[in-house]
Amino acid sequence: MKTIHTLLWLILAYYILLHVIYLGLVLIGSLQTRRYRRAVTFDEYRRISDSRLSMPVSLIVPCYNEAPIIASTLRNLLKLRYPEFEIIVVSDGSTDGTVDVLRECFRLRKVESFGRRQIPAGEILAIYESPDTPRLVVAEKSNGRRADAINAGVALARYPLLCVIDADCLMEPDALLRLARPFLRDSATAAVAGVVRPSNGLVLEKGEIVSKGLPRTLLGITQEIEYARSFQWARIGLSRLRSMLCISGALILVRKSLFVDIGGPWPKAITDDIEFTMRLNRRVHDRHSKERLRLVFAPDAVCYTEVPETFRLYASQRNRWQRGTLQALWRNRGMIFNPRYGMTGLFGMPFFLIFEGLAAVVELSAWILMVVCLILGIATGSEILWMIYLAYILGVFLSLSAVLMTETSRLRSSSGRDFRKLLAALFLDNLGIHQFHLLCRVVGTVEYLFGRRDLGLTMKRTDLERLPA
Amino acid sequence: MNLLHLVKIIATLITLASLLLLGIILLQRGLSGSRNRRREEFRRRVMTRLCAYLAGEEGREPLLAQLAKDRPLALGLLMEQSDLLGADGREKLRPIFSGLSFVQGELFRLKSKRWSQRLRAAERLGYLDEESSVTPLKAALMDPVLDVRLAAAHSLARIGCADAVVPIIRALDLPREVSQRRIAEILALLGPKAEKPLLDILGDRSFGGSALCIAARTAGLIRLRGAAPLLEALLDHPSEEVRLNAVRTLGSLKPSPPPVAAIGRLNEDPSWEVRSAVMHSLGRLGNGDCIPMLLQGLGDPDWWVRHHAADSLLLLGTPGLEALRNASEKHTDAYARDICREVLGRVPSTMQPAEALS
Repeated sequence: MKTIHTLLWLILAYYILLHVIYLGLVLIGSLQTRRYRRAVTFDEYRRISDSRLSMPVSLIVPCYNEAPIIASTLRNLLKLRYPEFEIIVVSDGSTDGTVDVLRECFRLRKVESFGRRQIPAGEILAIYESPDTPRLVVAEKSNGRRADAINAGVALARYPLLCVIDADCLMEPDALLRLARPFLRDSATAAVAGVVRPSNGLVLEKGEIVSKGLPRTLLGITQEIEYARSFQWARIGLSRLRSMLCISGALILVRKSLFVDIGGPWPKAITDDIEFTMRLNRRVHDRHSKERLRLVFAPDAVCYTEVPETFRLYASQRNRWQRGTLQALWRNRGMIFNPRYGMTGLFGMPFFLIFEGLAAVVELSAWILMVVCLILGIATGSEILWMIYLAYILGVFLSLSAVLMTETSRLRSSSGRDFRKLLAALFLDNLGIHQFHLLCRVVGTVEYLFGRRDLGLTMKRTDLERLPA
Repeated sequence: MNLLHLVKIIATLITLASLLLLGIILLQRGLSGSRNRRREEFRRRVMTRLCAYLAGEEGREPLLAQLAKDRPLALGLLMEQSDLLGADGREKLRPIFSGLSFVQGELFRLKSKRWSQRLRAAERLGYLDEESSVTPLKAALMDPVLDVRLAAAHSLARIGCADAVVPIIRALDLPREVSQRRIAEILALLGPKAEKPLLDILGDRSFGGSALCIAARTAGLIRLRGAAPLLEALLDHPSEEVRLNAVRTLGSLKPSPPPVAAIGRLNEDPSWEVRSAVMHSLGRLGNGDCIPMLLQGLGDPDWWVRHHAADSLLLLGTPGLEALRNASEKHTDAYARDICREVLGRVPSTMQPAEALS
């Protein structure tokens, strides 16, 4: 009996500590966002877009079987407002005719090119360029993983900045300007991360985002809130604490020399972005390093990615993310509680381990414990309900903070109907979907321990391009 | 304390906080909606008057009367239009800016304790373009906040204050704080007015490496051909960064006679970046004398040097193309042959070499 009570106290302490940290991140995140907005001067982005000296960017788009959407994605990327950039699409052994689609849409022709191989990667089988679109290079390679395709793309990149984005990602026209700004302000900038939001609900016309809406399903809308929580305050708060240990692979701008220096993403990683970010942090925040570097979060650089709207795909994605998180933590375990990495080692990594890697297991233990208490008669039904209510209202509070931050930014939803849907989903999220998410992560943890390292199910893509009337 | 009691207290507090947050969100949404509508309406009215004023259909008084209804919004709108309009349009906006007497207020804000106020003021003074702002803006170059210093430098350049070149470089030339390209771009806004101070800096070895780099970059941006002899002298500078910028700028200035021999001396520079810039610049100079140097560059251990050497050969037209074709078959280095084939792969048989590169 006493043991169960002690466990309950421990779990409550864990929750309180977690939410106190979250609250701290909300405060730091909102202050940082405010400071960031104030520092952006009136014509700053126009100046960057007009400048001949803005650092040119190589966009690397790794893709595997993305035939339905790849043309729309490229049309969207080609409309980016930026003085000089190139797009390198790396088809990672696609079998659905991705390269054929590109060949037809952009009149590609094969060229003899070798590139400068800087990171070991799978062999490039063919390279294509388009006479109509000189900014576009398409490479075809044997199948590896996303990380391998990125590393192969680096060999063809000509410019000093690399922007890695997923093939299902759509960028706002000025996203690259906003991402590049920290590089122009401070030469110590090593990498910049941006905001990622769900693309389900967007409408494209010739690659241009003409309408923004919410995903159709409740599962999709709850992910809208989850992404807002993750990007509106968590990342920016963590970046201030030098602990941004997960930069989404969907949108990152990084100095090429550094990217090559740390060997690019690890091809065997389950989630290469998390693992890569940890190594990036290891390099950037190493106190023994003579070079002063920093990672920056740009809260106004936005890209959109497709989120799963069926429970099967959602479960597979979250399972993979959980396994990837554990793998990355294990691979970089030397950083945990290591003062050599300053705040990253003493706060960021332990936080990531205890409140990200193990959160699902702790939360599930709490649920099991509550059932045990109920069965053994240690707690009454009303006491258990109070516990559940506390977990629920804490989640609602954090989601409301994210919505408030979104509403005060230029990312606010324009339609009143969407806003009402978002609020409704915010209250419904913790009544089943969150618990399902938890279950997926617990399964992921167990499967990781049993040696599962595959990438799970592949998303079925939806083309958001509006068909001509 | 009883566990349940604690849970109840926390849950109640969080519920109250959530309700408060929800109220703030709804209020915020309502307020920002009406604020946006008001802004749109103001904007529409001002734009009608502004178009009439710029077309010469109306005097400035009706426009000023309209703008005076919301001065902060008016200032933002005028700044936006000032960016969109050409030099003539901007000149026409000057009486509007001065008619609303913004300068005194901004000069006052430039002394504010809040850095964000100083930043906005420093930026706006550049748009207001009045001589009286020059001295306070020069003082703002010493501001403790870098963003304010940058905005002040930008505004001084916008106003056309040539004697601010050296203070700007001194204020912003901090190791690794601001990218040199950004400072060069600010100085380039001065155009021909910056020529003399830049020549002075390039000829004065007492300036540090970073200042020389900025001056070299700016000289390239404003196409200051008179700087070529001074840049040639910098090719022997001990700093790698200075040599790199001098080579790049010489390549972009294309001085006459082309300094092929001077640039070619750096063909064996220890830095691959300098060697790569040498290859690039030799191509841009467009002189056939550099073909042997470029052929030598094809065998460089670094890929970028080889790449730029091959690209530059292509830029030289028929003699370069011949040399490239020859090297693709006969060069002793296999990597050199590879890069030649790669570059030649971009030239369709009907296309002129220089056209292929552009």
